Amino acid sequence: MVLASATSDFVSYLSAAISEGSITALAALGFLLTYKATGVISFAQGAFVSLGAYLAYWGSREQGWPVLTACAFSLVVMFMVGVASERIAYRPLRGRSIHVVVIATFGIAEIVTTLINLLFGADPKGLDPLIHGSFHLAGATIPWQRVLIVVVTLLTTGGMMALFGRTQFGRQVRAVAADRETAQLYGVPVGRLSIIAFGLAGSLAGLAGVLIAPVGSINPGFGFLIMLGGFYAAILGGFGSLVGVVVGGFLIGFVQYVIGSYWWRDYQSLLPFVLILGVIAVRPQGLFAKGQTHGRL
Amino acid sequence: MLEVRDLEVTYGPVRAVRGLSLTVNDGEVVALLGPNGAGKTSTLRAITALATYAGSITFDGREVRSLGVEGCAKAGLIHVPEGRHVFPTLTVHENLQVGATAARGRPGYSFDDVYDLFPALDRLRNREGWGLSGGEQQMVAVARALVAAPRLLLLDEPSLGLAPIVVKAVFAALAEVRSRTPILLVEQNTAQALTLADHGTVLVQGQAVLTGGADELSDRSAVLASYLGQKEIVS
Ligand SMILES: Nc1ncnc2c1ncn2[C@@H]1O[C@H](COP(=O)(O)OP(=O)(O)OP(=O)(O)O)[C@@H](O)[C@H]1O
Ligand SMILES: [Mg+2]
Repeated sequence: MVLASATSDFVSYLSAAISEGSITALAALGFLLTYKATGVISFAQGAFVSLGAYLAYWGSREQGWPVLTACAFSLVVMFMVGVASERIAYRPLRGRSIHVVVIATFGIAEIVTTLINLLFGADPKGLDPLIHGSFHLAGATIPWQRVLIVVVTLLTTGGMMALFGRTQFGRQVRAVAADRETAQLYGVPVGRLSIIAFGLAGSLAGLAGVLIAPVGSINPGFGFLIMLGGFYAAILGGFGSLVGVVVGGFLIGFVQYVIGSYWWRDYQSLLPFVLILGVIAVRPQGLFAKGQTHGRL
Repeated sequence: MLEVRDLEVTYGPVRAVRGLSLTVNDGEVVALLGPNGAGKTSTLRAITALATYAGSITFDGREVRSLGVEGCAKAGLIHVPEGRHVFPTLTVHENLQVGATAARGRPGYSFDDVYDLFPALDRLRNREGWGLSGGEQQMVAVARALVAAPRLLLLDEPSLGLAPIVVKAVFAALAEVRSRTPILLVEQNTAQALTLADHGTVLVQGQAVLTGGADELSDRSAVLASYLGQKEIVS
């Protein structure tokens, strides 16, 4: 009996670790997209995770749309929000110090969070899952939504890898990242690429938001923590490596939800920090980075 | 097809190009020669709108200033920059694929054409740019420009830092290219440049000091040498 409950505890911690790790990875992929295309780390991503969740909440709870429709609506709107953030924070400030742009993304995060507060209030809200119900594994109850989260994350990661590795868009983004001026000399539409990158990053943030919201509840600031996790994952994996950020995301989930559930429960949310500091001390470039880690604009 | 009139390029107080005029017609190879710091790169950068300039530069009658950098590429004004600038994180073939962005359906060189022209690149298709030798990088840079379907090819010191045998190979390829594509060639390797060029202009401190046919310039090698600060020039 004791043994059985120990196993079921472990399985439910692990399922939390894997699904939270997936969300972290999704958030990190959003970071990576704008970073690869423009060199900018957009700290608006966290507020966009929240906004994505609230848009789906608005659609499903306040408009009565089916959850799937509300989620799709959220992703489309979040693409446009991402594009708007490019127009506001990146385009006009291009060529200025990278710090100016990064601070502008913080500004956008602040504005979005305030708007959410005004429109929806600060009380926690709930969102229905896309898949209801749960299944039992070794005595643990695992919601199907968690499985969905993992599947979507893996598909998204595969999609991003194909996008960067095999499409002309991906090659052009990598060319701009490597040598912007030369890319322009060969007709690469750098302006359009950065718009698309910011738009897709917005949708990725929205995706993380609508997937994780049903697992707990949402409040205006909840995306910020997810973004921090994603940022850690990106650092851990070595900014720039797709596989790296996903592995980083899962590592963070594991440390926080498995290790943190058994030991140091009070310090659960600090553990990712410790992990990062440890890794950075040994491998400053991250686990998977190939070399240069520098800002670029 | 390319008309440069009274070109001035300045960087703050530095006047890099002062009143340069030159023309490149269809079917021609024009050499722009001159010592270090003469303003050759500045001229090419102005021609593809990378540098701001005064005066006028028209390509097929259109001012390049208003075309912009991407617009120049799309119009077929293809610039192989000084130092080659192969994308280091892309493979050789990916470099070519990105280069082809500028082609936009213009008839030009296919990937097979450029691999035929530079057989050495064929087995390097999947090698990333940073792993290439200088000569290989130069070949990739030229190949990438060719798949961009250039209507006019601008080359900035293709021989820079290359072993003589590699320079020969690159210029042999360019000799084939010239039958299809006009070239504006910036070089310090005067002898090599004049084997390819029809005309040449010598630039010193931003000003054209000597202009003429390639034969003429070769004949006046002593004068050339004094301008270029080189000991001897024989083609
Ligand atoms: N970005 C810049 N800022 C300030 N001055 C510059 C800049 N680029 C070039 N110059 C100056 O303009 C002049 C012309 O430079 P340019 O690079 O055009 O010469 P170049 O003929 O290409 O020389 P090289 O053969 O060494 O490549 C030089 O005096 C150089 O120092
Ligand atoms: Mg130069």
